[in-house]
Amino acid sequence: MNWRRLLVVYALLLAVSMVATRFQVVAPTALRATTVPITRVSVSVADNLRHAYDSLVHERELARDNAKLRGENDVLRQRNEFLTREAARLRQLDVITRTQAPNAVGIAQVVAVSPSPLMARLTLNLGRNAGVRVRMPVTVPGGLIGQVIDVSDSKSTVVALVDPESSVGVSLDGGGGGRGLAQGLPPDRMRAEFSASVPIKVGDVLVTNSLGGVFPVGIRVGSVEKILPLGPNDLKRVVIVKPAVDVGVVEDVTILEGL
Amino acid sequence: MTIDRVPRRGPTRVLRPAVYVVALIAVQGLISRLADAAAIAAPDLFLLTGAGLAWRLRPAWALLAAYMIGLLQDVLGGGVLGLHAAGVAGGALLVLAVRRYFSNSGSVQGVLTVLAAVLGEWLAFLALTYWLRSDLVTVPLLVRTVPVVFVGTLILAGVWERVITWGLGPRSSPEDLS
Repeated sequence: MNWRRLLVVYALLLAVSMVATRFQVVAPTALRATTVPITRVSVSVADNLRHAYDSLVHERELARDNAKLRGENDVLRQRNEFLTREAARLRQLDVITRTQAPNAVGIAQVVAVSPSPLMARLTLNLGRNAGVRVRMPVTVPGGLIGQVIDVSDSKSTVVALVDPESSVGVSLDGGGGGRGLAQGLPPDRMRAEFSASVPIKVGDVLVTNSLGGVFPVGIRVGSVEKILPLGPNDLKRVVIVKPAVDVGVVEDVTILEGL
Repeated sequence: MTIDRVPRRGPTRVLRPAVYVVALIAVQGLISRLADAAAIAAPDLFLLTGAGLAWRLRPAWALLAAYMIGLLQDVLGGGVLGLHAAGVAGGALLVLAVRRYFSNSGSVQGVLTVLAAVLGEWLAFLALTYWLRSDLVTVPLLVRTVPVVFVGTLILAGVWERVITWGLGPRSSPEDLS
């Protein structure tokens, strides 16, 4: 390898470059145009690769964001559910204090029901500590549920209207008069007795009266579904009453002060 | 001028180098586009080609061939003619020194080849920058770009050497150097 000759060759080449750069010699565009098809393919491939990579990364980011938002959404849904139920309870309390009795003790949730096919009893999550006492009426805006029969510190038991041990004084709504006694008729009806002179008919609405001094007057109990035939020796007219409230579906109830 | 073990006759003798040049243009375009998107300097396959020629041709011819490769780079880049030509030839000159003093094998030799090529090219750029009294090459550019170009080119050197071997033939034996 003759270095001197090599250096001379390179010096000559460098000199050519120096002249060309000094005079800003630029190749004709037509020369470059011949390679455009090749470079166009290269650019397309590179752009597609880049877009594929970007899409991959973007999808991962989207999936991460989506999972995060789903989590937040679940939390907000739960909070919304809680607030909705709370609002419903407050509306219920408002309705009851305006229409049934102003002296509500509080709103309780049904936390257990009687497993018996005969008994209809509910366990509430409020007890003695919340001011609940025995014989307090329990209602919802739709009507009467029953009354408290047992209380512990934090729980209370309600006997529903359809329980065979339930007994409530009823009258015809709208000033219809009459004074009867409705007792539970499992599984989901009541049996009420009225004086034979009371002009009762199917569809009449029954409300509480002051009989027994337990319930505020005027709370809806149910409607007459059927009137049993009056026998020749019967002094009382017996009717089958459909309760105004299906205790199987209530979740929140209002406990009222007794009379 | 010899290219060892490349068919000396027939269309393959011309076809393979032609296909190699097309592949060089295509792959360099691809890499440059990707590197631009990543905001880094692209590896220089033209420089690797110049270095590969320095390992395959007789020294003077290698310089001329490397100069032509650089000139092709200038044409494709649409810039001033002679800039990359001098750079690639400068790289080839230093690679010839590596070829002279280091054996034709091993990873150290491969690293030295790329290092010499990058060094020679940028020395030529510096010489032209001084000649033109321009700010073509600045210190920040050297600090930011040259290491990236070196690393990127070094990463591709192994693969691209195989492409060069396919297109231009294998490296010459040491006795062909004289």
